[in-house]
Amino acid sequence: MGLITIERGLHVNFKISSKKVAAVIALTMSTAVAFTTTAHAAPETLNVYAALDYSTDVTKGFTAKTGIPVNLVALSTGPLLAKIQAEKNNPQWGIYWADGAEPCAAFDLDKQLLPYQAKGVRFNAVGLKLQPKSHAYAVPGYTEMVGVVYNSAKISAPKSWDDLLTAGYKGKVGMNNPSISGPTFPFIAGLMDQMGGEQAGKDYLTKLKANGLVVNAKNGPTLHALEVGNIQVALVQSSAAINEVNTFKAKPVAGFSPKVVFLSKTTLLPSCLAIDAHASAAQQSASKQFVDYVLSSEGQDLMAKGAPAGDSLFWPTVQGRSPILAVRTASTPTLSSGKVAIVNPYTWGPLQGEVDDWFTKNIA
Amino acid sequence: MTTGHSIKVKNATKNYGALTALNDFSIDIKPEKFTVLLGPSGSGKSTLIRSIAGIEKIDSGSIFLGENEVNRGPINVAPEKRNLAMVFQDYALWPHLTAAENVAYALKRRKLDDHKVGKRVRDILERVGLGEKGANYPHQLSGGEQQRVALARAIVARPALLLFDEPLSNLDADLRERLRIEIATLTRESGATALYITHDQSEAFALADRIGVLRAGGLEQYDTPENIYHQPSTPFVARFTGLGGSFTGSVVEVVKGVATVDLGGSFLRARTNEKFKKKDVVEVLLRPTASKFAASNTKVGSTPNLLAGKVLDTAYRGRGYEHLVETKFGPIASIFDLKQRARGTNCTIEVDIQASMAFPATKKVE
Amino acid sequence: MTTFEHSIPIGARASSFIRGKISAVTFFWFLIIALLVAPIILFLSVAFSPRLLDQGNAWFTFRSFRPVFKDIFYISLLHSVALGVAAAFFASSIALTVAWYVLRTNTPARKIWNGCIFALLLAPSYLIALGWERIFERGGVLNIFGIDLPIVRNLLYGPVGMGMILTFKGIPFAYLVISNAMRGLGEEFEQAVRVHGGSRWDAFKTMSTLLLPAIWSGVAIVFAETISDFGVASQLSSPGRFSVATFTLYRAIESIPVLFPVCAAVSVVLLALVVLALLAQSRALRGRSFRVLSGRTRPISRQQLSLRSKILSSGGIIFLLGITLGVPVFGAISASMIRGLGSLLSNYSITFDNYIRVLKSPLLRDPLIFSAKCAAITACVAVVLAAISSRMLVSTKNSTSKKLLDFFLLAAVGLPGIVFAAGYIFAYNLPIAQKLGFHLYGTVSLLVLAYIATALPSTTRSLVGNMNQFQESLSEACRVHGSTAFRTWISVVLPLIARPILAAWCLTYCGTLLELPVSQLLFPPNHAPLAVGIDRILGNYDFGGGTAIEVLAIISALIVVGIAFGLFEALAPKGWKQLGKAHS
Repeated sequence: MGLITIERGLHVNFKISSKKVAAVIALTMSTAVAFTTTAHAAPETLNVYAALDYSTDVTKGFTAKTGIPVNLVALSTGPLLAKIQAEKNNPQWGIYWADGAEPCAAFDLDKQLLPYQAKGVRFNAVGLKLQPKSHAYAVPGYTEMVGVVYNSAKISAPKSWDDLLTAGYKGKVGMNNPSISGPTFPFIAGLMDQMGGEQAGKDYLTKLKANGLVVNAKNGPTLHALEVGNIQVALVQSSAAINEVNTFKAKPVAGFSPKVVFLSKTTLLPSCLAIDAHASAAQQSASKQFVDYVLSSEGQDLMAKGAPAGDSLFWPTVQGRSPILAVRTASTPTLSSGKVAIVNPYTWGPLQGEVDDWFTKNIA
Repeated sequence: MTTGHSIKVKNATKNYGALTALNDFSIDIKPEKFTVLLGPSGSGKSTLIRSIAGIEKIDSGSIFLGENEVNRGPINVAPEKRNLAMVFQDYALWPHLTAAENVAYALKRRKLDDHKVGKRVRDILERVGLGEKGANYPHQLSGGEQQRVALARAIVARPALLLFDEPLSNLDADLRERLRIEIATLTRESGATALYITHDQSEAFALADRIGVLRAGGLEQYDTPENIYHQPSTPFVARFTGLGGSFTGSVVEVVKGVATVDLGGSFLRARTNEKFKKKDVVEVLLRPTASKFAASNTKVGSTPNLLAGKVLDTAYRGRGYEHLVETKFGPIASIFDLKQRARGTNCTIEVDIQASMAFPATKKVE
Repeated sequence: MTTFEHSIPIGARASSFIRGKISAVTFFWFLIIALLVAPIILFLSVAFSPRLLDQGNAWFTFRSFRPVFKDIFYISLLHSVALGVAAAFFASSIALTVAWYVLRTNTPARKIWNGCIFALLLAPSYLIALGWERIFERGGVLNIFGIDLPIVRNLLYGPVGMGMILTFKGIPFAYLVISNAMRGLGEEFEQAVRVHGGSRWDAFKTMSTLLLPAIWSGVAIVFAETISDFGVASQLSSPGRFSVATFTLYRAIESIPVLFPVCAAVSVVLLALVVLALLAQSRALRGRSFRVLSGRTRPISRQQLSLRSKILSSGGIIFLLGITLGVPVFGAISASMIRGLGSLLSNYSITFDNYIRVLKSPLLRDPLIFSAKCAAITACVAVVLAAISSRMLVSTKNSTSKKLLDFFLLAAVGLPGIVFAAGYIFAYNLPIAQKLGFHLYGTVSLLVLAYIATALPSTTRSLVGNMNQFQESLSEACRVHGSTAFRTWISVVLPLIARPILAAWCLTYCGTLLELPVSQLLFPPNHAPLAVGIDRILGNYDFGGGTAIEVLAIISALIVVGIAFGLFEALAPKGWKQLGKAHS
């Protein structure tokens, strides 16, 4: 019968019985599992994939109101998009909800989105401009990129982007790395857009780098650098900026008095709500109700309360609603002032990879 | 009292790649006998005993324990179902159990109550002289003590078959002898069939009811120790069971089972079962007891079985001296005398016909 | 006495008799395929056939390999290999040295070390990086003392810093593997060297040779973990300064849309490195026997060190603990306990506000309990499977199945976690799987299966050293004395490796509790594991809260480990505990 060694002779006997133990364990588990149709959504349960902190409260409110149970997958944007992409051949998600329009634009170009226009919703001026014409996704709110936080005890407020290139700000300015911090790419896209194109934006950033720009990974490390005095001006997401100002207003520290200012032009960062085109009819119907809910005053209330130190610091797109107090007191530019910019995610989105690469090589 | 298994091996073959460990091996071992398999390393005895134990598989052939076929080709009945026990060369005591627990482990299959188990364990440890050491862990015992625990463990459950895999190889000489006696006594007391393998011929002869001599995966001879000693069937068996010297010569005549062999000037008479013709080239093999010093004034001449030689070396054995003598035709070892003969002394050696055997000459050197 | 009743039925054919045995082997491989092979193969296939899983248009293409064939990538690959080899070498050397001092000598620091090893295992890399940053940054610890070291800062944010942190991450695992095996070595080998005139150093060398399987186990895992890392890499460096192979993978994951085919292409390359590591390992271990654990193994007497040696060795161990454990602890304190600016230059005070806030938060309690349950189940199952796998891996037969098992186990480590998790989605989200009734995707069960698969390689390798030492005659003796194979395992094999199994259980528990990438992609909705929540909090700028949760989780894990070892000491039979014990 060919080569049979001692070990194998012995081990085959071993394997029967000791593997029986493993077999019993695994069989029990898999049998129990094979009969569960649990979190794999029954048609009525809505699967929400969200990267915003108030999503927990909003989904709870939605279930309370409509009786539709929600499976919430709450992750940061990166892993969320990876999960969606990995599920591509058999998508499970019904709703995608995160900051940044570029992913939704990419989904739309790939025909993964179900266009939907929420009923009875009146958007404000900014809101109207942020909704895509195809209604491929909805924008229930936005933040701004960037809020310029500066230590008013040590430095005066910059007045324009070019100001940051001057000697007074040499080595004192910090920003995030777009490869790691998702919202930072729209900021760079906005700079490029307003300065006249990709190369113009790159030139600006190169000059900024020459003037001692400090690059950190994300909002947190950048703000920490500001706090310890490594930098005096931090370019971070508006919600992070406003939170920083509030924190130190409540608990002041000597020598550090952060204030926020918005330079012209500041790019708007929409938070986007999209419906999966490949979901089942029941999923899609529930999704539509969810979009309606988010844009309703009840949903907007929950958004404003759910994450007071972070995502709730947004500007609503629905007419007649104001942002929460902390946001209101920040001197934000209005649409009509010409100091805000809206970038087209369909044109800028595809450039993200190349721009991030360039930034990482040359600026970071 | 146990009734032992009989063991029947039929045409067992086992190969390890290009190496043949067992070559169409057959043997029929009667129950309750103490059988020793004797052979050099590589002769297949380890493979055979492990196959009988069920911890190794043969490629083809069958093994029967009693009436039951336990190996058919690579199909095996599991070892734990064969009602046997084994003593290993490296003792194989479990380090995390005390001596008593090691012995008690073997009793689990008998499903006795704790009280009985305790008693049997104590008794058997007492019997092997380790009554005080039941609570010791193996590393706290000497080599000899460990092997005695292994022996106790093998015997305590009164199995029908006891297997011994060179159990005394790792012990020193004195201990070896004592333990050999223990093994012999305990096994016979228990009534089990015993199968013992070793490469040490004196051990084999001391223990066995029957000896099987193995070479290169085959059985050379299977007989009582006396027959193996006095009537070896092949030169290999003769060589392996104690050789004093070997000579090559040509046959002059064969009369009634005694061959006269011309070594080239001197003549040796030796027993033989072969029908040699004149001028056949033969090997004469001498047992160690075949040679002694002749009286000092004996002339060699052409008297058969007298050889002139010179003492090369002597070794003191306590009860006397063994000498190595160089003759014209080759050396003779183990020549015993109470007196010591000095190195370099000339002497005459007398060879006993009864302890000499003539075989057809083989080209191979064993 | 009992009569003998078992024999082979007259008409039995080989096939039917062996069928029972074959089906057990088949079942084990079925498990391995479900846990490891299917997700890995499916993921890699996307590199060649994106269309297979709807990741692209082509049914067969090499286009995904384009980024891999760029010059920059080759350099990155070399960097990865260099880092991997360096981390593996240093981690093993340090682990071996410390293990020798702790297990073989009477150095006083040995008691602290044993307690700290699991803390080291649990320290997350971001805390380690954070700690170092806080020490060297402007306004950091050294600045207070007037030291400003831009050179060191530069080194930190480059290969040296990365290599250092990856080495530190590798030390606990290498230590556990090596110390497990060292306990199985009796003193007879070192004694033999000393008796033949060898010095203490010679004895150490001999002992190291005998521990080669364990050492290589650790080396292979640390190497695989290092080349597959990109958390530490992205935190401390950037492609401009010192790029590693995983950057390309990272870029692909961060793209919109995510470029899995490119990830898969890079993974293929990483796995090729894994194969090389395995080849090196088998060459190193070829032809030798390491079977030294038996009844004749004698417990060692600890070497008595001179006062000077004691001071030096204690000092060394404490210094090592200081930089490996002290730094992340400092980082944790700085991030979560300092009111004010998180800087020591300005006014600051120690506060427990973050901890108090977090203790009341739903983000701590339920996820911690959920993760703890998953980690415990994972540890139990993984340890059983690992015992079986490690036994298979040390069989002397050089079969294909053994090599395949070795490869897939190491492949699971050589692939970055997020990639492995994506493979799970590919495998268990297949439409056919659901049609066949396997509703595993999105369930806790799948998450636990993935945890088991992620844990199995290191858990297996942590036991390989011990299985290698195990003399076959010990289990043969069980069989011939009436014990079934199962009873042999329970009564002899497992007790002899009881402490290593306990260590393996704790290793798996700690590794799973705070596991991130698999948790992120596979957690069932509404049941987020702890690490997912922490990651989100940290991703927002709440360092204080996130770190506080992390610290509390680590403390809880250390308590579990403490209880596990305590129960062992209290309840295990005396014989189990004395293996590997030393006379002082």
